[in-house]
Amino acid sequence: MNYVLHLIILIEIFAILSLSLNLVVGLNGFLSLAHAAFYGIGAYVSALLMLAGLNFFGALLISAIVAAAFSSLISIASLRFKGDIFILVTLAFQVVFYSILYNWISVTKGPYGISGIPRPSIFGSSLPGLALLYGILGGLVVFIMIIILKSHFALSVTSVREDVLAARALGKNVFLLRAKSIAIASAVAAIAGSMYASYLTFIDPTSFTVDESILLVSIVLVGGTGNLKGPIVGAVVLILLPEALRFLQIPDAIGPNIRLILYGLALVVLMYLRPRGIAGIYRFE
Amino acid sequence: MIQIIVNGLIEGLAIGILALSFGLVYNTLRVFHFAFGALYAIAAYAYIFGLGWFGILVSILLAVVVEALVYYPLFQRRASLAVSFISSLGVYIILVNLIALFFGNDTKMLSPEVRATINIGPVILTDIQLWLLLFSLVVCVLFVLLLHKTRLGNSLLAVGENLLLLRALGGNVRMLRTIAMVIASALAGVIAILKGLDAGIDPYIGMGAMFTAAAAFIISGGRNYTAIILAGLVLGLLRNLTVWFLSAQWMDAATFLLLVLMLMFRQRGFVSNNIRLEEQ
Repeated sequence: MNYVLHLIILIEIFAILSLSLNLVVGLNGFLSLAHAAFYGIGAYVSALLMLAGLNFFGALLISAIVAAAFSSLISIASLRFKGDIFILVTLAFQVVFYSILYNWISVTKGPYGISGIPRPSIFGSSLPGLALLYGILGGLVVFIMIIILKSHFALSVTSVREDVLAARALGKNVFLLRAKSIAIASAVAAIAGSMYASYLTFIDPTSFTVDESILLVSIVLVGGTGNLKGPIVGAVVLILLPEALRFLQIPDAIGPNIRLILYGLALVVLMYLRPRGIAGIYRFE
Repeated sequence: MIQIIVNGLIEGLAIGILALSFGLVYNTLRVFHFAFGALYAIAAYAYIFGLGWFGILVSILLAVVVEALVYYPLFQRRASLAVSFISSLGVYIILVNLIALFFGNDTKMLSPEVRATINIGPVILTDIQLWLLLFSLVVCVLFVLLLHKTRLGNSLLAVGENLLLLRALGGNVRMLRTIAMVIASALAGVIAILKGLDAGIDPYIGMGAMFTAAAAFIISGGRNYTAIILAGLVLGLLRNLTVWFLSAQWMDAATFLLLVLMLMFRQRGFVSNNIRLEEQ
């Protein structure tokens, strides 16, 4: 039972992550390799605040605001660069963030990580209570995403994605639209980070590497982007795939590698046959 | 201090070679060759598991397969940069995890014994550094000669520059693309093995190498192959000075900070070009 709850909590966290990344990848059409950094900002800021005595929700809120503030760096880059260059700029952000986590030992404890992070106790700090709370948070994020994706705002951002010049001619503020959507995406990723930190009660830099960013991008691209369904499908497939592999009698030790190989294959095949992913609507051009 | 600078320059040459290879693929195939990192690692693994220097052939062969099965079909479909980037990323993920699956995630040493050192004045070099120096210098000269003085080199440049004209003149685009992949993997394979002899390998070494190469390539402005080598040298120096003044953990951060600064303030790279990279 605990194992099922563990899987549910992971799906909740990763669904929030991929839904938020969808705002950058699907709505804006930008591939970002910095999403794990915002996830990490959420985890570290809220962990430090909670250890300083703040409650879970306060820490979650502040970490989301901090992540949104830092996302402006990515937004500025999105105005000047696109394609490969933008990817490299987000990668730079991710690498510098990781170096700071690793080296700023007086605050982040570097490679030793932060332990003893308290769990929220609103429904009890045992797994069922946590799964319920995270489910509610996840539901809230889904609700927010539905509102965003159906809004006039999403249409405007999409119009910028499709044709910057035309959107500008219609009086759209390209920078503001991109900055807003990227800030929301980063804040939501930070929420997932706070949830992750509280769930594991321990965090270290290895959870927020370039590889994690790459994994997040793959989740979104395999699942599909541009709508609500795609990212959720991606997250569920990601978490449940290892269980399916276990069912096929593949030993645990090589499970993670097999899973990634399948993801890589899915990326290559999908990009050729179905560039919009399993359940998405936006295809990369 | 002189030691640091010499180390930096030698590493810089290696970065320069990798950047040349990466850039050759980028300019010829119009692909952000993420899988480059995996091919790099594979050469070193093939070396350690019995093939010796013939290990390079494995990564060359794989490069040809990747071009035939992934890049060329996408090219025929006129896939965008983003699509080919993602596919290349997929290939990288597959190959690296295959390595990890068969050979484990741990760090392996290519040469068990401590390497011989040679003193030249105040500078101490290992024999690997000397080989690296020698190989890099030869390759740099040959590479620039190949691209600018031979018909093959001009055709390679033309694939990226003016595809239609090349086709009209009877150039074999598919062959040229494959040649670019082969050259890139061969050079990367040599560097991977030499660096592996120096520092040991794990399945993930390729990503850092690929990103550093990509950074040097972009910093140089991407069009001029001499400038690419220069950018490699600058990054090599920067990385070694960073280790000296801060710590090894800051190396990649310093590399990418320089990249971002260059992109912000001097988009054409430090050797002036006619075209901005974005507009290619």
